[in-house]
Amino acid sequence: MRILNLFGRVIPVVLIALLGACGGSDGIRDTPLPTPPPPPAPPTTSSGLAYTDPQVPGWRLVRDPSSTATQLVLNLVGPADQKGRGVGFNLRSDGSVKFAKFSDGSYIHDLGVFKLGNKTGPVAINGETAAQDIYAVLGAVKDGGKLLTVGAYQKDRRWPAQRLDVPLYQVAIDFDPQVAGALKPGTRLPLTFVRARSIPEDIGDSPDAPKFDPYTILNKYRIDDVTIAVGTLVTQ
Amino acid sequence: MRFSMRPAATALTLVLATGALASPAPAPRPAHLLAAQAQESSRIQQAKDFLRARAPQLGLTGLDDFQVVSVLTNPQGEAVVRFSQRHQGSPVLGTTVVVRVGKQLHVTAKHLEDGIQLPSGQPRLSADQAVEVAHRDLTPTGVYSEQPSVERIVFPTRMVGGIEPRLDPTSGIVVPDPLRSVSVGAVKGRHVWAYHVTRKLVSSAGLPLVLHAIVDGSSGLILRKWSEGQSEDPIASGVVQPPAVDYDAQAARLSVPIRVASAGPQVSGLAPSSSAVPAPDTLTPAVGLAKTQFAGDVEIPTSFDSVANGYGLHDLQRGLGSSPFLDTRRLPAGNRIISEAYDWARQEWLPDGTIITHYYDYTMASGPYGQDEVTGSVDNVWGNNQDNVMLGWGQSPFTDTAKTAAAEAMHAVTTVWDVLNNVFNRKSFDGNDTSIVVQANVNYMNGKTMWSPDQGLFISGMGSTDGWGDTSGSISTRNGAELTNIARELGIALHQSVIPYTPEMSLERQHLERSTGALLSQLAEAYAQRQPTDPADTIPAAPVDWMFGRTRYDDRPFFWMIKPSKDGFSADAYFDGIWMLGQQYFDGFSYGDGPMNRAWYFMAEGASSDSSSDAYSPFLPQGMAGIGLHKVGQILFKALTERYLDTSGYDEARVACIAAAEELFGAGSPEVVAVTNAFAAVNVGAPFGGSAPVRVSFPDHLVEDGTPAAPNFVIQHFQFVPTGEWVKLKAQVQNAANPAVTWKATGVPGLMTSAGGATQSQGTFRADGAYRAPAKGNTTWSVQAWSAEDPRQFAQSVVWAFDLDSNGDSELDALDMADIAMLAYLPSPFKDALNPNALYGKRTSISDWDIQMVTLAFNNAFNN
Repeated sequence: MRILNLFGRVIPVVLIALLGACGGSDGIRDTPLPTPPPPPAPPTTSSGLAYTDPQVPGWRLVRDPSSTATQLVLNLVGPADQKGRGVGFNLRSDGSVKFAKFSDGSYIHDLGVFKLGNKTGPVAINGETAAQDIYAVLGAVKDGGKLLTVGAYQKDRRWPAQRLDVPLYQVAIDFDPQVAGALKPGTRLPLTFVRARSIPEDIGDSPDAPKFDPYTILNKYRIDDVTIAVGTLVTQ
Repeated sequence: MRFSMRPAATALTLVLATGALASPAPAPRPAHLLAAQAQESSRIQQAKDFLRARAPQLGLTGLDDFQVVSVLTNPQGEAVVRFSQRHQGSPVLGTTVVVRVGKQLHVTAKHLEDGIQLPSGQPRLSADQAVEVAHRDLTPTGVYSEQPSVERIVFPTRMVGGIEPRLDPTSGIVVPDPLRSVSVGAVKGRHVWAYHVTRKLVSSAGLPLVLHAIVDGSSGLILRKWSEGQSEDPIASGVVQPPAVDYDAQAARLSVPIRVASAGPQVSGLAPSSSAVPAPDTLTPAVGLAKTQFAGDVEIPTSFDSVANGYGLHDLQRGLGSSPFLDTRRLPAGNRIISEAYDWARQEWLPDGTIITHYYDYTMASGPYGQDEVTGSVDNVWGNNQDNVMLGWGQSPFTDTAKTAAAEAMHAVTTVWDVLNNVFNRKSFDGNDTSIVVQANVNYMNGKTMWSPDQGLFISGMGSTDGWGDTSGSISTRNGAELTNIARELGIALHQSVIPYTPEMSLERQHLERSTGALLSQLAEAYAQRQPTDPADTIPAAPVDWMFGRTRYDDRPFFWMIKPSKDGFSADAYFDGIWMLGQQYFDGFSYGDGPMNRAWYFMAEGASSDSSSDAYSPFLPQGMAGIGLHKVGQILFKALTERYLDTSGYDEARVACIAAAEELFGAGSPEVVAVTNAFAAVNVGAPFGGSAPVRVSFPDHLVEDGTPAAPNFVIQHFQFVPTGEWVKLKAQVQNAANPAVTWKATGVPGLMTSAGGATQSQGTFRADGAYRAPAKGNTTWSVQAWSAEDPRQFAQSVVWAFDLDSNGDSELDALDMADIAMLAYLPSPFKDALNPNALYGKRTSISDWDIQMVTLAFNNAFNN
């Protein structure tokens, strides 16, 4: 597209310059000049997605380098100064993009920061957590595909909270050639944050703490509403 | 076995004249069968060699081999050998292959695991670790009766278990069954190394209880678990602790040691025997006269005790393989009838908690009872043809009226033993001539008889006047020792002894099992009418009434084989999901047996073309001719022993019975036509020469497109859905030009749902087929899919609906999982205080089961 634009602007100028040079004063002006072709029209359709990361600290969705023109992979990154135990969010589109599944068939791809398995117990043989453990991870679309809802949470409070300023998990958005492809390049595609909830670092004592105080669990039970910044998504 | 009525004095006179009479002895086995039986050992080796040579064709490799499970010699003189598969020396769970060895060798049935590729050469876990895992899951409050055993196995991952429902009687909601539910994520590969851990306990009633667990050899997760011997709920009775779902319980569970009952002196009496006790010389066979309630006056085998100078309901010529029940009580082998009355003075408490209860029996050896009643008989005349009805607790089992039922039980046992021996060349129900012991006049059984494998007993009830056990609650019963009652239970025991249970058991197995019993009841009823000149190896063409459980006062049976729906609940024809029909009787009757029972009737007696007849089937409106009971019995026995597997349901039974008929009578024979048409008449398969009917069925996952995070569910036709959400269900239609279905939120009569499948609203279907469960969550609801092309055809299923809105914002989304995760593993008081409405409400902790169920329901609603 860019190449076309470039040619659309450059070629007429060069032709005029060449024609001027050929004209001179040799009396052949009567000869009609060939009509220059009209400049190609600006493209009216798109072939991919472009995403600009939000320029704010805190919770945000940033583009993962594995993204392609037709599939945008977004990493959820948290604030630099906090730790947490899991987060979930809802993200809405107007239907012009498709929230995509990863190769395992899920709408969420965990990146291993949160400790999703059981820390001990019968499934922790030889000091390892079983791969077949049950994880508190959900991902789905609702409202005809317009609402993405995902979440990954540590179910075992004996795990410590994890730092949040790294990619925690991913979601993906596919370019829809039928819908977004019909839009002009540069068209902004609405991608709206709806709601997010995060399990904070301090939720009371761990049951295996040396001085376990069960009342701390009651007193510090809390799931925080947080806001996730979303960047700008446009067609290209 | 029908004898003319003989005056009691005659029997008495004969006994007195000779001291001991020869009883009607079992018919001798034909010489050719005895010769064939002598070859069983060599034929087993032949069969094994045959399989080894054909391993490549079976998809097996040099790492696979076979282990004998059982062998029998069929009435045709061939050996039928059942093997299980082994891989690298370890059993492959759920496998069976049956080889018939005669003039030729055939694989008649197989369920093998081909292409086994294990992730490693051996499991990472040790056997001891696997036992620890099982021990910490369902932990006994007392001691194990013996050291837990563990065996390394190859486990097909499609058998991984799941969440299984159980109605909690306290809260009235459906919850995961702690005895059977497992929580497992995605397991890679078709097979894994695993351990089968078997733990033996004693129930609060002193009965055996066995817990099985399959522990993954890599992760230590329990992949599947089940139990046997549940004469009671071992968790409810406190014998076993449920899985530790909260932190406190998990921590406490780590410190519970494995304790095994120590061998030591018992409290009283002699050490239980583990082998058969020979009958003393003072016992000799005799012939008694049973004055029965249902069969008139008939001869029965008894024993004469020369020391006590009296007779007992103890057959010294049948059931000589003894049984664990008799061995542990040091009683000599032989079929016998015992009473419900304990002999307190001889009750034994063993160190492992086992209670050995010594019952009075109907022999002179029990001694006088109560008001000096004789427990045996001094004249060998038993009963007075009167019904024994429970009038109060503590009622004597040794009155003449009570002995009517006891002697009737002996008549029934003898008849069935003779059918098995003389017609099918099988000694007793298990082929080992195990003694058949019937406990008669049990006051809680109300006119029925039950096979209790845990105890090795057939338990038969007194009559009742309170109507208990009847669906209407108003029909009283007669005593349950009627021939067809006992024969039916012996047929169930026969089926169980032939087909071992595996974790991949068909949900329709129960119907085949009980229908084997139903047919045996009719075979016995006909055989009891055999005349002395009739051949012993043939079921005579005597009239039978095709009913069983005929012990109601109003003379209605509990079940009609001609038209099962006459009871108001049973199905006349097969449909997908029939296994969900109720088991409302504690002795295991099931309305889903109806079609198989009816197929036996059609096979033997034919079907009518008169639509007003009870013997008419809309699935075979032209009717059919029958082939008689004897041939039907032959076909069943051959199909059962040579073709049936644990995975067999109605469809497989049809294939097996047709194959058996072809082998016995030839392809295209009238017998094959009859078998084929009989199954077609109950909506299983095509009629002979016809086309297959439309079949509507539900996929294993009810919801369209499956669920990415779901494990391999072995529970068929069952799915989780969230309340308040529209979910698109899916049904399959075969053999139809028009695959469309009409949905109904309703249930068939007798359906096992917690919310009255046939009477209450079961939810709503939209025009596009989307379903929404009623607002009341945490329970199961009934749904049906009906063929648009053939309005007779439908499939029945159940959804388990529960509320997913754990954060109470009226939006079901992934944010609700935050609350679930926060509450996970906290003791229930924390959950009650912090978020009482999450999932099941109060009283429960959040466990991995809950996380898994939330995930499944969520995905079913939104992720497909």
